[in-house]
Amino acid sequence: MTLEALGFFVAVVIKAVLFSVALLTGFAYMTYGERRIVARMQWRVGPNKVGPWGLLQPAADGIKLLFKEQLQPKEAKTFLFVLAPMISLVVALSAYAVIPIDKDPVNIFGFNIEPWVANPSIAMLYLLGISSLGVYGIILGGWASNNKYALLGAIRSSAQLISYELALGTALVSPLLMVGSLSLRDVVAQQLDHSYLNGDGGWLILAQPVAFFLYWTAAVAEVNRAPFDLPEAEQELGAGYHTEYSGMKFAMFFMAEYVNMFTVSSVATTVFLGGPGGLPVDETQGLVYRLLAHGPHWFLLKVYFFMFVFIWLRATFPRFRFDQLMRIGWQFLLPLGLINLGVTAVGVAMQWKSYQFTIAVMSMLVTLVSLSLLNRKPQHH
Amino acid sequence: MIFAAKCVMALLAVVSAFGVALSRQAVHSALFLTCNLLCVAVLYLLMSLHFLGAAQLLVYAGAIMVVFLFAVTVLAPEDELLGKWNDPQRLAGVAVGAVLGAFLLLANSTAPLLDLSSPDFGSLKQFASELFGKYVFPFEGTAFVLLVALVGVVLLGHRRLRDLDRGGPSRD
Repeated sequence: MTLEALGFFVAVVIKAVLFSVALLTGFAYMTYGERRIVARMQWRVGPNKVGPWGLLQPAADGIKLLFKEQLQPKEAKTFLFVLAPMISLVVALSAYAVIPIDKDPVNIFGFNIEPWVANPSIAMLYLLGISSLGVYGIILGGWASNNKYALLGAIRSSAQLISYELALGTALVSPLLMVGSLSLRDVVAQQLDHSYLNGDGGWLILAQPVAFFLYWTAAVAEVNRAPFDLPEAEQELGAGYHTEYSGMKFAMFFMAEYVNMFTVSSVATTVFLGGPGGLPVDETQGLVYRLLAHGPHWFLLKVYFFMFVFIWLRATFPRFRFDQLMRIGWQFLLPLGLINLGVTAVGVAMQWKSYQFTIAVMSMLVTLVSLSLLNRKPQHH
Repeated sequence: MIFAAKCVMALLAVVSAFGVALSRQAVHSALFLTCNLLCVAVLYLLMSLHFLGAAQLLVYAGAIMVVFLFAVTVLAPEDELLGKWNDPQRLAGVAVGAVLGAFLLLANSTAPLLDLSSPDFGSLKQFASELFGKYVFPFEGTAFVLLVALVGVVLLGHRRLRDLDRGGPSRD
């Protein structure tokens, strides 16, 4: 192994550790933020006793979970019972490796630092592939617990994930078709210098509003968050697949859920909202302009906006019934995604301008919505 | 370095393949199969066939095995023990496996080794232009066959449900 390869290896390891630490710290403060924000939306106060404004609450929770008794059902399959939360967390963390938090490598003290852990040409496929492995943790956790509620939660979860993965994939194909690359670095770069669609592109949400809506709906379902939180419906299943887990094993499932939320928020930011892009100013005019033009702070701002939307959704919507869940996934999101993909493909082939895309997609949406309203069957109960 | 990694992965793939055949529980078998598929995906990546590795991960480990595991956990045949070693079905399986293995060995020992030195080999662009250029008819044909199979399964499933509704036990 040459010295250069060794340096590259060490840099990747350091960056991976930094990303993981950042994600887990983010998780800890998202639990605090979620409790405070939901409390505010529900006219309560939320945790405010530990430290100033309750800011040390995550640390207190962590210590409590660390020292909690590790319970395990008598007939549980020990090996898989221990393995399942680890699979969930490892898969969730490793999905983040391909997400770029800035546009170009930055030069600090003579070191050329790339703002991503890895930049393969198949980044998007890697992301979808890795995140589709997360369901193993849930199925195995539910099965190994030897508890029928846990198993029901696991089965619900796998059915839901399989159903929505298709809609998620079709929603992501349309913007990637416009960019013409699966590498997330290319996706970001082309949005920032407007180079796709013959120099007419901007943030992809403008050209692909329907794809963004589909992606976001499917993503909320993929991470099992309200209103799609049937796998852990407290009123029906205890706590779903993690009913029998306590202490750090439970915390790992919890971490995995939040890290997955960060991942889908980051993908939404990267693919649809221009990733680390900020205001349209000339970045060559000095440091301040460069910071205004793009940077990790813009990326974080957008990601935390999406995290807030997750919390907002949870406080706003009641949970779907299972048949509604399946109907939304298969009869609404997937056909709409396929139609959108078809329209996009035609547009890319005919080299439409950006606004033509928006008009085509919006008119398609209006037609579909009016058709579905006309087609509505009367509800009998 | 890469050669060592390939050897480890190949060994792991073989061990997990034996695990599939020898485990006593259906869930464990399914997990070993997942492990095997993941090893093969890593082998592809080590040969710098990036698209193939990602597709293996996405399609087999991420979708098909999840459905397998789903079915196995729902229908969970509880602790199905191994039968006797001279169970005729098992002997037949071993024989078929041996014949297949022999053929594979034979084919691989005479096949010319592909030259993977070109840096573009297996890249996304090249793969796509081959798939939608040279091999577009076989590709579309396969897609059509799969569609026919899908429609057939839906049709058969529906018929069974209808029969159940007509003459089966009441479902309330």
